[in-house]
Order: sequence, then structure tokens, then C-alpha cells
Amino acid sequence: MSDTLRNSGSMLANDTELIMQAQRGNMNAFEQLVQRYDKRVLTIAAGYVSSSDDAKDIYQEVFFRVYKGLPKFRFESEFSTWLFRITTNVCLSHRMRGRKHAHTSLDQNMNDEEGRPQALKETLTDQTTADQQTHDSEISARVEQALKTLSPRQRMVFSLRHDDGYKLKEIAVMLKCSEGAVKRYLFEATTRLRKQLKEFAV
Amino acid sequence: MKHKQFKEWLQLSLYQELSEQERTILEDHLLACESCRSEMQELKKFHELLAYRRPLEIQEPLIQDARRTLRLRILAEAEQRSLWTKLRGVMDGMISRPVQAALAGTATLAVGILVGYLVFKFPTENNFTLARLSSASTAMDAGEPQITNIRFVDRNAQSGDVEFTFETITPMHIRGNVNDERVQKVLARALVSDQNAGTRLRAVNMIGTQMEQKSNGVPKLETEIKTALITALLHDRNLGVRREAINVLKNYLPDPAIVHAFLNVLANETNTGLKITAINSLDLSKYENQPMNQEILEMLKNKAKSDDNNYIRIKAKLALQEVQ
Repeated sequence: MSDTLRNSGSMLANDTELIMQAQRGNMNAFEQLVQRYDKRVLTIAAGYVSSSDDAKDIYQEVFFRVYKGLPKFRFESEFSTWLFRITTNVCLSHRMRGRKHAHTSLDQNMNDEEGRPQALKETLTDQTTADQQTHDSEISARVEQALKTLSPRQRMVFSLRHDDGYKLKEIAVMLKCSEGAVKRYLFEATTRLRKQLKEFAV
Repeated sequence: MKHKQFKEWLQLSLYQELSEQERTILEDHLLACESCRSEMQELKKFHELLAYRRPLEIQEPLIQDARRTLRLRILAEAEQRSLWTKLRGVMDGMISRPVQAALAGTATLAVGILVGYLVFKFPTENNFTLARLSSASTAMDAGEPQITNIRFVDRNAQSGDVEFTFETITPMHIRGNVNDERVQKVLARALVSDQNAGTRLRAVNMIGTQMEQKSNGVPKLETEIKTALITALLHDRNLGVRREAINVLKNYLPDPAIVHAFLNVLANETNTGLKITAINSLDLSKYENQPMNQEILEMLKNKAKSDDNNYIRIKAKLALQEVQ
């Protein structure tokens, strides 16, 4: 995945052709462009949000913006760079809209088998009776919760690097910031996550 | 070099983001620094913990659903845009800007009068009635238009004058025969724009039934209805609606637009049944010496060779054998 932005260079001629046709109103060409890149857009969205509905919302918004913006696209950057920049922008604003729901307390209660509230912390440390699958799911949920405590940019950078495997340079281009800033976000995200998950990383 | 810098490098090294030179410096430092070695071990454990996370899986149905929704949204947008562009193109080419504004107002008034004339003319005709739905519970008062999207433009506190724009929705009641062209147009509109899948399904059913009942051969398919049926076939998210649409449209082959729609079904549709209907309907013998013959041939060859579904591959091969 890390070679996504570079790979797009070798497809530049085809992309250019499709973009020019789409700019003349050829819907088929537009659909081909969408199909060429939409899995990557969905993967970025899915790494950033935690529900498929949110990922689909981001997908719709990204490609609708591409559709509306394509007539003004002047080939000053590669199409993929432009597209992924839109994707990260939409992700970040999507997160902001739902932010008040996104932060979850790590002390949030969960119910035990008999329906009684039980601290998640206890649920996760008491693994002697749980089977492996449940154990994995619970840790996954805990990591997910910890991710929700990150700022949108920290989470975006972390997800793009850790889940999607983009290089820091590529992330800097997508987010239109310096590589140093990306490193800082990644460092802050990792530090924060480690703090949140400290008791489980033993 | 500061210790903090090494801690940052430790993280970057796990993401293979260090240069060769930086990596060598860090490795040398690790040999000498107990604290950084311990930090490295903790970071590795942290990464192992992160591996438990399962991001959403991108599965084919999710992508197909997203693509379908996008197509519908863009179609709706394109429809609005094209009408506006046409109007503007005509006006820009003909007249200057101040006159445009005046003419736009006049044109709106004229359209309003025309619509009013048409609406109130219908009830007097046989077999078709159209009236305001006086029992509509959503209207402010019985028969009154519902006001939505009020936008305040200006307000003068002293004089009490206000200026605003709004939209009105008037509930209407139509009674007519399904053979009536105007009834069909309403059904066609419902087919492409109604949010309720049941309504769309009933609309396509009614259109289909009407087509079947006409005794003097297959009746002519109005362009608007044909477009609605093709749109439903290619973009409706409900399989039942798509299936009904293909069943009506197959009676109108070899219409080129319908042939292309069927080729599109073969290329993009996820439902096997619809693809089989498309293959069965595209009878190559009807298209001899026509350009679309080659397109159908290519598509069938493609399907015979590389469709994911074994049955589709066999059906495509059989269709090809029939013409060879």
C-alpha cells in the first residue's frame, strides 16, 4: 500500500485520458476513475472510522466532491494526490462533526454475563475464563476506544501509517503539511496510545 | 544527540522510517544505553498489542453498495445541472445581463401561468383527474400548500417590511388510466426518484402491465419512460425493481440504448439472474451488420472467459456457439 502514490505515476497517461473524458461529461470515464481508486479511499476511511456506515458516508462525500471539482482539475498535481487529499480532508471533517460522540471514556462500563455493569479494565485483565477469540475481540475493542481519544489529525496520521502503510512523506503530501509535523503527530499519537494501553502491553 | 531524539527514532525505526545512517547511529546507541533498550522492548510489545485491532474489512458488497449510491447521487446532480446549464447557455448567448434578469422573471411568470393552466384544465378531460389532495394531513390546512425551506433575505425593523424565499409542496391527487401518457410520466418519475422501494416496484409493475396489455403488438416506449426504466435497471439498489425493469425493457430490443444498458448489466451487475436475462435477451442474430453486434460479441467473449460465475461463463459460451 505504501507505493500507492508512486504507483499512480505509472498510470498517469491512463488517468489523464480518463480525467479529460470525464471533464467532457463522459460518465463511463468517471466511473472507471472511481473504480480505480475507490477501494483505497474506502480503506483509508475504514482505518479512520469504526463503522461501515461512516466509511460509506466518507466515500460518498469524497467522490461527490471529486465529481464537482473535476471540471476545474488542471493537472497541477497527480489525480491520486488530489483525491487522497480530499479523502483525508473529508475524514478529518467527518470526525469533527461526530467528535462529541467519538470520545469514549476508558473507564466506560460494560456488562458482565449476567448483565451487571463491570469495568472494562476488569473484563480485559480477567482472561482466565474467556476463550481466545473473546480475548482478542475485547483487546481490539480496547485499542479502538484508545484510538478515539486521539485528536483527528493524530488518528488520521496513525491510521494512514499503521493500518494503511503509507510512508510519512506521502502522508505529508496528503495532509498538506511538513514531514516533521507528520512525525510529531505520529509520535504524539503513539505516546498517548501507549499511555492508554500501558497495563495491557505486558 | 539528545536522549529524546533517540526515543523518537526508536518509534520511527519500527515503521522503517529511518535512513541507513540514522539506523546505524541508533543501533550503536542501543548497545550502550540500557534505558533505550528497555524502551525498545516496550514499544515492540505495544505494537503486538495493536495487532489485535481489526479495522473494518472492505468487502465487495460494501463497495458495490457505495458505487450504486454514488451513481444515483451523481445522476440526480447531473439532471439538475444540465437543465440549468441549458437555460443559461441560451440566455448568455442571446442577451445582455440586465435584460436576462428581467426575462428570467417574465419566463418564471409565464411558466407559472402555463402550469396553472395545465393543472386546472385536466379535471375537465375524460379518464384523467388531477386535484389538490384536500385530506392531506401534512398540509397546513386542508388543500393548502406546505411551506418549506424558508430563507430570510431582508428585514426592515422600522417599516416592518420583510423579504424571504420559500418552497411550497402541494399535495395532489391523480386519477387516470395507466395507458394515459401523463399517468405514465408520473409513474416514470416515481420510478427514478421515490425513496420508497415499494413505490418504485409498483411503478415499474404498472408500466410493465400496461405494456403487456396492449393488444396491437408491443406498444411504443416513450423516451422518458425508457430512460426511467434504464436508470432503474442500472442504478436502483433494489433487486426487485431492477428485475422488473429488465423484464419490461427486453421487449424493446434491439433499441440501441437498451442494448447498451444490457451490456452494462453484463459488465457491472452483481446479480446472476439479471445477467442471465441479459444474455438470453441479447440475440446476436438480430444485430447482423450493426455496429452493436461487435460490442455484444466482445462482451460475451469477455464473460465466457473471465466472469466470476461459472454458470455465466457457460451461458456466454453457449450464446457464442449459437452464432458461430
